[in-house]
Amino acid sequence: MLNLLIVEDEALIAMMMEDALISRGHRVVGVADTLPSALDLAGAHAIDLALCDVRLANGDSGVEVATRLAQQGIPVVYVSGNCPADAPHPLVIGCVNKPVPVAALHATVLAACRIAKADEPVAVPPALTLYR
Amino acid sequence: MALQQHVEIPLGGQTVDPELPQRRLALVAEAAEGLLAAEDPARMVDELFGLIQSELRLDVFFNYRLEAGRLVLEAHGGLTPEQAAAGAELDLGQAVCGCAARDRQRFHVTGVQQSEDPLVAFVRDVGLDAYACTPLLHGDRLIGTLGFGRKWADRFTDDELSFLHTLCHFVALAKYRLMVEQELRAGIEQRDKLLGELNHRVRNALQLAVSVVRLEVTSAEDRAFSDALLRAADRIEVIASAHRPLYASDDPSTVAVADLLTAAGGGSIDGPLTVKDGAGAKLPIEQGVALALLVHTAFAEGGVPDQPASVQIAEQPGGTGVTLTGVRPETDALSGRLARALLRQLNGVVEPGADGLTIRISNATKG
Repeated sequence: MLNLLIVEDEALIAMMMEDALISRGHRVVGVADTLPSALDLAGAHAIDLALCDVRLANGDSGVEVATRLAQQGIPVVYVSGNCPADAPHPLVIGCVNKPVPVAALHATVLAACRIAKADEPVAVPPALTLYR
Repeated sequence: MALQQHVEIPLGGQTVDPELPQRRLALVAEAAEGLLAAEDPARMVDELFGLIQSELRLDVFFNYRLEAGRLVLEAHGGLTPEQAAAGAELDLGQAVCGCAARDRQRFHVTGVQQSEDPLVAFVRDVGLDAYACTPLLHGDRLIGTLGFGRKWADRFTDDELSFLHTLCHFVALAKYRLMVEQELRAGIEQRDKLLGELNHRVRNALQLAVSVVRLEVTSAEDRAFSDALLRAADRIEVIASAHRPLYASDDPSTVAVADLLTAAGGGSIDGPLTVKDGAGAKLPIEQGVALALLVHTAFAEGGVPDQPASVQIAEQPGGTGVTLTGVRPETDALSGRLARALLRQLNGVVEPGADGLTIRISNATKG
């Protein structure tokens, strides 16, 4: 079970991801839709991995959120309709293109966490594009 | 400003230097070569000036660019910073080059130092006695002006003017080329931006559609109803995923079947889907989506639990065979109404095999 943060400004997409992850036994510590709310949640909870959209509410940048979270030691996977070409920090592991294949979310967060911890090589789900 | 030694140049007379035409021709060729390869509109004129300054004994050049109805000094040579600042911008009709731009005509001003015409006041203050300014035109489009001046003589000869005009014509062509390239780059950048935005919106809209359906599942009390909703959500995901290879393709008309099934299989069925394609088969995207939905339906409803799912694509007489392993051969997953419609669209048939099913697609449907 992983403690996960969802950073997504579309409420329905965030809810769907939350349901999918909870149904696989994970704990979603919260849903943020802006940079400040993401940092607040990151400050208040121990987070194993953040799933982060690239475009957020109030014009906030998911790349900025990912960078700040990664600087705090939190691995990040982008979930975006337009995956960025590269990662701003080594802990930004990869990207899942929207529409997110729900069945792959569980495998994606597990693989990303293991990659972030430099564990043994893991099978990378096809939905997850790695930056390294 | 004090004049240097002044020379009167006769307008006619014999050529005193028999090598002059050959030398000028060589300069024209070298200038043309440099201008054709130029990447910077200001540096190209700097380099041209360096090339011809000695031959024509030029002291000054001004290169103005037309920008928002005004002439902006883009490049210059032989001017002090103060002089360049004083001539940094001109209105059309202001000074010699402003008139050349406004009238789209060449100007050759002689005996400047003796002139009291306010039009030549600027070049007179610079110390020039002869000045030739040419509008840089491409067709009817004014790009700017290019002027050359000398302090040591009161005019240019006809040959010199002809030579300078030829070079100015080359400069206009080179600058026009750079402008067109810049406009093309800007157009491509804008197109890519719009396409990226469109892709993002389409994917987000599909993601929202999937989310809405899946969220309904959580509140559905009837099992059959929630199963139907889940199947619908899965199929929307397959449709969305099957389009993904198109976003990275230069050819939007067809999609590689292997890429399509790999993308569509990335999470839409339990466990990984292995796709092998020795044929490099391609399909129009509409047919590809139909095939992806069929493959998904076969694995989702007829898959053998705990058996790896794989797809082998092969060219076969009259069409393409897509063999699914990890599907029960006797499954009726592809006999439902939706599957039958998709098979009809593909002009395909399903044949059971030893380890699974083969979907045979007729060539008639291929793009």
